[in-house]
Amino acid sequence: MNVGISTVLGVSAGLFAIGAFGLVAKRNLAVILMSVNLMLAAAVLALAAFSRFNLVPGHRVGGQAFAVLVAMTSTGELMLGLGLVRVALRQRAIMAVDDLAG
Amino acid sequence: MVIAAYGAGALVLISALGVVLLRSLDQVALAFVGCLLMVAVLAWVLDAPVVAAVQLAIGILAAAGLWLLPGFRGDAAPSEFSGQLIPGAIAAVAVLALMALALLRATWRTFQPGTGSSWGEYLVGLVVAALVVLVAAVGILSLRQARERTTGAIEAPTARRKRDRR
Repeated sequence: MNVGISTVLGVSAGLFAIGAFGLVAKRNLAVILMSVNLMLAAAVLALAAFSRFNLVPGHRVGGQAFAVLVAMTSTGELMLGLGLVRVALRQRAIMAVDDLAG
Repeated sequence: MVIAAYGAGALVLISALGVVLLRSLDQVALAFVGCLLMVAVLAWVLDAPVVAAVQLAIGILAAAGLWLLPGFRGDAAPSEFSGQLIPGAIAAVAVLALMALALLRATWRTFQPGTGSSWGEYLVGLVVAALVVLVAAVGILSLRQARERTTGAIEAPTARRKRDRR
């Protein structure tokens, strides 16, 4: 029994859906940030799967290169976001996104 | 390898659900870091060691970054589900231990001289397996501490500060 691309893409889709749910349903700044990262991790998984199953013949490394690029982007986004959350917490004691509007 | 792939896939989804469903901030952070590490395991299983290494680095960075945030350490409000989570956590640790064993076995079997695999890949497998065990141990310890703390009503930090000011 082998793991097919549909299984990996199913996990990726599930992860993306959970991240999207967290993005729209949660109010905590840090949790929203983590949800965005979950969606990016889903993209990384899908790209790694495309690379593994050789979806584009002759460009096997291409998927991995894009996956690394997305992973690096998510690192930057996470670090910047955590920094902003930390500043917001320190200055205005904000944790919920609704408090930013007021 | 199939067990590792399916196990990692299931754990990715379970830990992602933990991120959006758990209410205690330290447990959410733990679930998030666990999810990133499981994505790294899955990438490694999918023959993408570089992606796995990068994802592993993101997991470590995220853990360090979250540790710096106030409210993500021991002072966070305990989850009201902490007591019920203990049996689930024990089962999760059993699955994680099996996964770590499967990872070690798979890495050892793929490490054959002349097959193209290298010490680097073997080391990535070892590090991921060790981190899986570490995350499981930290999870159990965190849950035990959460259970020992007094469980009260869940309160947002802003609401708590407003109440303290009054």
